[in-house]
This record gives sequence, structure tokens and C-alpha cells, in this order.
Amino acid sequence: MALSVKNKLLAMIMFLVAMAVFLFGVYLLYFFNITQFNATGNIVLETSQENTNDNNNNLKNINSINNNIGLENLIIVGLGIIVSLALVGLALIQIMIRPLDKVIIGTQLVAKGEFPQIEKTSNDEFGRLVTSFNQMVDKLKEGEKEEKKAKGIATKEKTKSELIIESMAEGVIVTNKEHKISVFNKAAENIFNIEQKKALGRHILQLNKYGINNIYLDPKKICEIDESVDGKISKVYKNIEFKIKHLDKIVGATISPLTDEKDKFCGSVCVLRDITNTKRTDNMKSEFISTVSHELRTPLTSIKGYASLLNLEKLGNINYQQSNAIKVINQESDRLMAIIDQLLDISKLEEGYKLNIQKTKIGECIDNSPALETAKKKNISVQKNLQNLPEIEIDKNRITDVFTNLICNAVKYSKEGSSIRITAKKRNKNIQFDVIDKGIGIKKDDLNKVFEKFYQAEDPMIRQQGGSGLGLSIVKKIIELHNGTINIQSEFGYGTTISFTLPLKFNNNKINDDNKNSKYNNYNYINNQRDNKL
Amino acid sequence: MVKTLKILIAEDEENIVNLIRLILGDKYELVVVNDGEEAIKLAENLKPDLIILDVMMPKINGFQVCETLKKDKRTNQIKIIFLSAKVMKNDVSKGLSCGAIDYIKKPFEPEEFERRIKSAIELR
Repeated sequence: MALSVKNKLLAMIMFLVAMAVFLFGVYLLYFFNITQFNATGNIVLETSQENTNDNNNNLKNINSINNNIGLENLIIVGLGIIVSLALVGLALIQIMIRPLDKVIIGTQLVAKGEFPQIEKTSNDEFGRLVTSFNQMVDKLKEGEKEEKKAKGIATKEKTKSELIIESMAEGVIVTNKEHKISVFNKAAENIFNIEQKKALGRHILQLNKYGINNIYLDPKKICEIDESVDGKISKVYKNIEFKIKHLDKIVGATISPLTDEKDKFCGSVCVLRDITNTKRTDNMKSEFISTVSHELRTPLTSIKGYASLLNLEKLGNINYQQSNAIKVINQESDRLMAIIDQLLDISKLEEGYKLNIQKTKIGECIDNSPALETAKKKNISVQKNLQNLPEIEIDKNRITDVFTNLICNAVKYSKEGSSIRITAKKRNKNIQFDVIDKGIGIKKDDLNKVFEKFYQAEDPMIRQQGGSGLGLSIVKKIIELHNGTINIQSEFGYGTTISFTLPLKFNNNKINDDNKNSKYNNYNYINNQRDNKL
Repeated sequence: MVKTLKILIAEDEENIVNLIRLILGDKYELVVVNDGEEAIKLAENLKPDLIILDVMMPKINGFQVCETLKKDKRTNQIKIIFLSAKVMKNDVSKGLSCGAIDYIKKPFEPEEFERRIKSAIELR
């Protein structure tokens, strides 16, 4: 059976006590023998009286020897005790310190990141300590293995993300809270023609050194931080476009703020696209449409002008048939003009149109519409029910265009003497308008196509009415620019209702949010450079 | 009828020139040029009461003609009206900002055209 350390210590103490008793016994024994020797000496002195003086001297010598013998014994006993204690100390070192030393060395190795195993030499407390130590080391080893495994996965994932960001066709710039660049991928290098290592760590505005328009990469333009609400982001700007003058590039950027777990601003991520070619194509398209419009208007000026002069009999008298013929020329010229104008309109709306938003009484948009005159000519009444409507934030001219298009359509497909109703009701933060007619209606199959460009129903009754097939596309574009929605309901033969919504308050940013891929946005550099063309 | 007021027409489209002649010819003295360069020369020599100026013309466009004439002390008092098929908002505003008093878009109604010319030329 193994002895515990406590027992070992007790045994040690008992051994020491035994040793001490034994040595004390030895000492006593020696002391006793010397006393006996002294008595024998006195007898010797009594029998030899002749040499009394010598005897006295001898006695002195004997006493001196006796004293010397006592001191020797004491030294021997002391040495014995010291040797015993040294032996006990060594035993103690063997028993207690050595296993502790092993554990200390082991922990030092653990601290260095190693996982040593200590040999167990006993089953006492030290043995158990060694066992616990070894178990602890095993656990640490296992933990580190798992940590390494997790780290490996994380590193792999990180590498994967970095690879994805690096290989993205879009430029990616990530900035920290101080607007310093922490990520600048390959595509960003190509866009800005700046090496990654030169960009990293720099303040985003330092890109200005490379000729980038500072307004559009100004961090303040990314989002507004409301300090009153604990530094939370209050407003976000998402889509911007800017020019890199010296590279003759136009860049589109989508910027999102990064927030921490408390929703506080902690940086931003900016995705960039080189849209130079797209913009050039757009410009060419715009130029082309402008040129076509100009080239078509010039001959139309002559056609319309001469027809009018004929009709006014400035070039001589005309008969009834001639007058009718001239009227047809005039009407068809007007129709052609309308198509040219609508083409121009849709082109401008698609290209990017900046709305002129102002608070407006919606009734004015209807009252100002030339469509009312058209309705009047066909003896069609336009009834509007817009009671208690607040002023809303819209582009008055564009919404007038919307009503003009919708009323003209309704008039076109309604019988003479019928009526058109325009109603409005407030729905949360929007107003819903309905333009209702009792005209010929639209077949179900055609309903989802009516907002497509140049779409005209196959029905001969509808074809007969003419039109460019652009009116409803323009209406839809204008409504969408206002962040509104539009839909159509119709029953063939019974009439049509076109419903659209307009928000009471116009939200600039919503355009940016909703039309991420759209060219319409509030910070459209290119479009801001141009005048409104509609 | 004695024609006391002179109008310089700078227009390269012959049909439109003839149309203008038909509308205004019996009321005003009309002088026609077909490009911008000629328009500037004749404006300096003729000192017309009004110039009807097309925008898209050979050599020098209408906007440049207008700017040149308005910078020149000898011609800056001459009234200018643009008559153009360039109908974009920015074209109109460019025309008016460089000194023209009106911008008539093509195509036009002859009667309305005549009224606008009359009111412009009679403007003191």
C-alpha cells in the first residue's frame, strides 16, 4: 500500500525522533562509562601514597581527559544529528520537491505552448497532481486542436471572401470609422489607376490627389450621422456618379454605411462600376434622338406651314374637298409631331430626368391639362372628385402630363357624350388617383402589356384610334420617378380604370434605394451637368 | 404698301425660307442668307430691325451668330428671334440667354408666327 505524503512526513518525523532518542541514548551511555572510569582511578590513587604529588597531578590530568571525552561525545552527537537531518532533508527533497519540480517545468512548457506529459512515479498526492496535470494538458491540447481547426476554417473563409472581393468585376473600397481605406480591390485599382498599397490606409478624400472629384467621395455624402440619437445613422445616400477627369472616366458608386452592433457608424463599403461606356452610349442615344427629332421637325415645318397657308386661303381659294384634304394633312402632321415629342419625352425620362418638385394642389394639374379641351370637343364631361386633398410634393408639369395622357386616352376610347371620372383618396402617406372611363375597355391578354413602349392592342377598334403606343409608358415612368405605383383594371366593352399613387411627401433617397440599377438618382453628376430637357 | 422694316432671315432650308416669305413677305423687307457667317456680315452692313435666326446652320451655328452680334457694339441693338427645330428646354434657354428676345419652335402655325414677329419688331 502506498503511503501518503502526510504519512511520509509523519514517518520522517518519527524517524527523526527515533534518531534523536537513539543518539541521546548513545550519549548517556558514553557519559555513564566515563563516570565508572573515574571511580577506578581513585582506587589506584589510594594504594599508591608515595607519589602523592604525582597522583595529584595525574588526577588533574584525568579530570582534564574526562572533560575532553565529554566534549568529543557532544560533537559526535551533534554531527550525528546534522547528518540525520541532512539525510531527512534529502529524503524530503526526493519525496516532495522533485515531483513538484516536474510539475513546475511542465507548467512552464505549457506556458510556452507545449503539451508535456509528466511521468507518474507515485500514487500519493503528488501522483494525483501529476495525473490532473496530464489530464489538463490533454484537454488543452485537444482545445488547441479544435481552435486551430476553427481558425483554419475561418482563415479559409476569410481567404475565400478576400478572393471573391479581389476577383469582383466591380471595384470595392471599404473604409473604417475614420474614413481610412481598409479594402481596395483589383477592380478599384483599375478604375482609379492607383496601386492597392498606395490606397490602403489613406483617407478616402486623399483619392482627390488622383484627380477624383472630392464632392462625390466625400464621406459626409455617404450618410448623415445623427449625434442626438447616440451617433446613429439618420440618412443614407446610396447611389452617386462622379468623373475621374484625368482618366476621362465616369464611375457609378453604390455606398452603404457599415454599422456596429449598436447601429453606430463604423465605416462604409463602396462598390464602383466604370460606366463610361454606358454613359457614352446614353449620350449617343440622346444625341441620336435629338438629331432625329430635329431632322423630322424640319420637313414637318414645311408640311404643316404650307398646309396651314392653304387652309387659310393665303395662297388662293380652295374648295370643300381641298379643305378636307388639307385638314387630313394637318391632323397627320400633328400626329407625327406628337410621336416625335413622345419619343423625345421617353428618351429623356429613360436617360435621367430631374424632377422639379414643389408643393402643388393636384386639381391644378387637371385644370391646366389641354386634354380637357380634347374632351370638350367630343362632348365628354370630365368630373373630378378631389375633396379635402392636401397639397402634395410633385413635379407639377410632369403630373399634368400624366393627367393629359390618361384623359386623352380615356377620351379617345370613349363614346361621344359619355363621361370620365377622376377620384382621389388618401391612403396612409400616399394619395390614390383613379381615372375611370366607360369606353371600349381592354382585353385581358393586353392588360399587362399596355405600359410597354410602342405597344398597341391588336383590336382594330383600338388601332383605328391611332397613337404612338408611348403615352402609358411615359405615364408609368413619371409616376415611378415620383416613387408612385400604377396599375390598370379593365373589362372589355365596359370601360377602364387606371389607378396610380403619389406620395404626399417626395422622398429623394427612395429613388436611390429603389432604383439601384436605375440612372435616376439625386446625386447624378452627369445629369446635374445638363439642363432639364423635357 | 411701303415696307419700312427690314428682317434678315438666316435659314438654310429653302422650303422654310419660302414659307416665311409667304407669311411675312408682303409686310416687311426680307433679306435671306443661308449660313451663319453670311448672317454676321450682312447684319453688320444691313443693320436690320430683326433677325430670324435658325440654330443648325452651316459654318457658324445660330447661337454663335447671336453671341457674336450681341458682343459687337454695331450690332448689339438688333433684335434676334430664334426659329429652330431644336426644341429641348436647354436649347431654348441657351437661345434666350445669349440675347434673343424670342424662341419659336418648328413646326409653327403661320398665324401665330406672324403675330410673334410683329410684336417683336414693334417692340420699342
